[in-house]
Amino acid sequence: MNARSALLLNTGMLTAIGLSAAQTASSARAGIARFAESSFFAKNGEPMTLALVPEEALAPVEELLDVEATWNNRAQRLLALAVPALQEALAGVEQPQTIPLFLGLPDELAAQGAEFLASLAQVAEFEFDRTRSETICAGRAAGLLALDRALEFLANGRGPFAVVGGVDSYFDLDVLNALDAEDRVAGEGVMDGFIPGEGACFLLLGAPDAPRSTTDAELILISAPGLGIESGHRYSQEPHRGDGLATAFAQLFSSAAAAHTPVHTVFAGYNGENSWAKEWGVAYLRNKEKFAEPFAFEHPVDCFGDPGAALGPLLIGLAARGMTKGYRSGPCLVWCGSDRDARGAVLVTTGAR
Amino acid sequence: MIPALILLADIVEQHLEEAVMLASRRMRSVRSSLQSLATLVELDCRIDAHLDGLLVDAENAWTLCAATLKFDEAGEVFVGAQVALASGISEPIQKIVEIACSTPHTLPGLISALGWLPYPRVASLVLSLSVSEIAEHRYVAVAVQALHRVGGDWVQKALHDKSTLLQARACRAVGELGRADLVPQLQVLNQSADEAVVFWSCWSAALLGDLSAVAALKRFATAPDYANDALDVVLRRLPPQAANLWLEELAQDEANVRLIMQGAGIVGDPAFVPGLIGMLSVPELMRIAAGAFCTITGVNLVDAKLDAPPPPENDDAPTQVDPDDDLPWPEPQRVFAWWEKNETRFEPETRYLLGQPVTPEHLRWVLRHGNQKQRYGAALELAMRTPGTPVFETTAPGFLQQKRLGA
Repeated sequence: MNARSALLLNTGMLTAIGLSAAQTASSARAGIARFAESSFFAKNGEPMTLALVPEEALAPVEELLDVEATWNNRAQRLLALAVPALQEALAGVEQPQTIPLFLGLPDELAAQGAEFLASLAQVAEFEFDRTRSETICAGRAAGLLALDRALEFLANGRGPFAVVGGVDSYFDLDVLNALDAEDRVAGEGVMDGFIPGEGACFLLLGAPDAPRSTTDAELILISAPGLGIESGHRYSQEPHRGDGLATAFAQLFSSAAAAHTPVHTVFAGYNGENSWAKEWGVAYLRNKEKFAEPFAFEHPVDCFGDPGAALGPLLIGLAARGMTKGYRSGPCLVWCGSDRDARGAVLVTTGAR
Repeated sequence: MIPALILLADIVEQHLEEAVMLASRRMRSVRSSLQSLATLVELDCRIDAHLDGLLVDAENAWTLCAATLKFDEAGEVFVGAQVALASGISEPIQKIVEIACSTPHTLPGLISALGWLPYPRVASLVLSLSVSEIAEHRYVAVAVQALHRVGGDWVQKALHDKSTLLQARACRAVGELGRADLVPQLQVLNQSADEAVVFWSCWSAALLGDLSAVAALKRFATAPDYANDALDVVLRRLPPQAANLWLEELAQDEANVRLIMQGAGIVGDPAFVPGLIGMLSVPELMRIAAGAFCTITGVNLVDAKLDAPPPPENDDAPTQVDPDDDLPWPEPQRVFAWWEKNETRFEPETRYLLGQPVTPEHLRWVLRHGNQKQRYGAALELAMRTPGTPVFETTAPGFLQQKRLGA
């Protein structure tokens, strides 16, 4: 087993279609979407359609006074989303304080990563190993970048367990107005937009030789991600060629993870915007021999909207759950990309004990 | 810190509504020519997905089922049973069994639900039902064990049950399980005073190679409750010439015309085709005739553009059940032209199924690629050709069937 891989031991999720990993996965499997008109209005006067977690499902973080003083509404919401999912992922873990968290967050929190982790530990009412934890503030691909950091941690023998996560929310007036100004919010008259959503997902990972109590006949392995840079991203002046995702795929398939091909299911980081179809097309065509014919193609953002930095871990969690329950064929390829240049892809496979 | 909400109730309600709707659709269509293995797999995956969503919290789902479902039709009973069983709580399980066994049209829902799950998960419930004082409970146990093709002496015991309802189902199970060792017991039971016991004992015995049972089974060919099942076995067990002669005898009575056409499709002799084409001019018979034509020749009317739009509906006519609702309307001239062009491809006095001679290899192909009606026929024929082999269960969950077929 490649040292740059890890076992998936547990998952926690909170999305518009499920308040746990089990409910999110079953809703996505059944194709149930949960979008609703919001109280935010687009510049054309129409209410924006969003995919939101019900307020009653959020952790009541506002009870902590210093949270309100430090954080704006969006950051508070991220904390409120993260807590239930993190608690689900770490349920039953006896010493969470020894486990570091590698957390993907939206770009805007780049200067406040450490403070965010401190507040998260406070509102979650349990400690994780903050001294060795990291935040990666890079938007949609942040979760896969965080996975890379986590696997590095495990491969270097710095600890037997790590948590990888992602949390994000577009439910913020400034964020939505900015997207609306760029005609990116799906709605009447918008030809190339997405449904803004939110969510949180945490994956408890173990090093291959870590002690574990699972008796499952099949374990879930997550490879080290292939990473790429798209110089022609949405906010760049350079031509959009799709090289970034293609590089991520090539890096992934050139590693030891390549032994697990051909890929039978793809969990795509489509968010509804057309540019992802081009990037996928380029990456797929350059690596076509690595895919089974036919292969299944899943894009669960159709169900829970674009959850931003939570997307990568969510796709990994859904792939894992589907393979464990037998309704998805592996190996599964998970990929996603940020609005800016980060691109990532990872293989999720099963490995018999 | 625990949030106030831990399960999205509106999503659970959606799962319940969809699961019931899809389960009802399945029960209506699982033996229909409209379903193939591929479409059944798709339908069953959708059902399984919604059951998955309900069973995230089975106890909560049962509360919802009990509050919103009337359980007056098989689809609702199917879903309710899945939820009750997953809850592991005895009260819902007892309730759903009681509801299911209260009417003949809800019983299939429970049997299907218990047939859907892996047998080890339902074995202890089935065992307890098998020793119940209530005949319907014991019937469920027999039907489920037959569905799962469970081995053991349960079927012998059921053959001697005091309830003729059970005896009849057990007689049928003997054939389904390929229990040729029980043919002598069937030969005793075919003297029963109960018509259903007689029929199913003859059916199974004929399936298992007892030619004397074939003769007894023939007289059921004109009995509405048994005609289809009788034809299925008689025409496959008899040598082709004998089968043709018997159909000619039945044809003496005009009332048997639908049976003859159905029988022609089963025997598969190309000599029947001109007669079937002749029936395309009779509006109330053209679809069943075309269905038999397609079963023999392998033509898909729609793909080959030999179909026609349905005739305009007569709003004044009283509403009746349409026995050919699942069959396309043929365009007679085009069908005739196709036969003229392709007739020489078909050897006389050779049985054909979907355009190819009936061989074990082709039957296995039909089992993978035919529609549900054709698949059932192929399963019977394969079992007949290999004595002692259980009949492949074509109503099992599609994804399980695919695994079993290595498809």
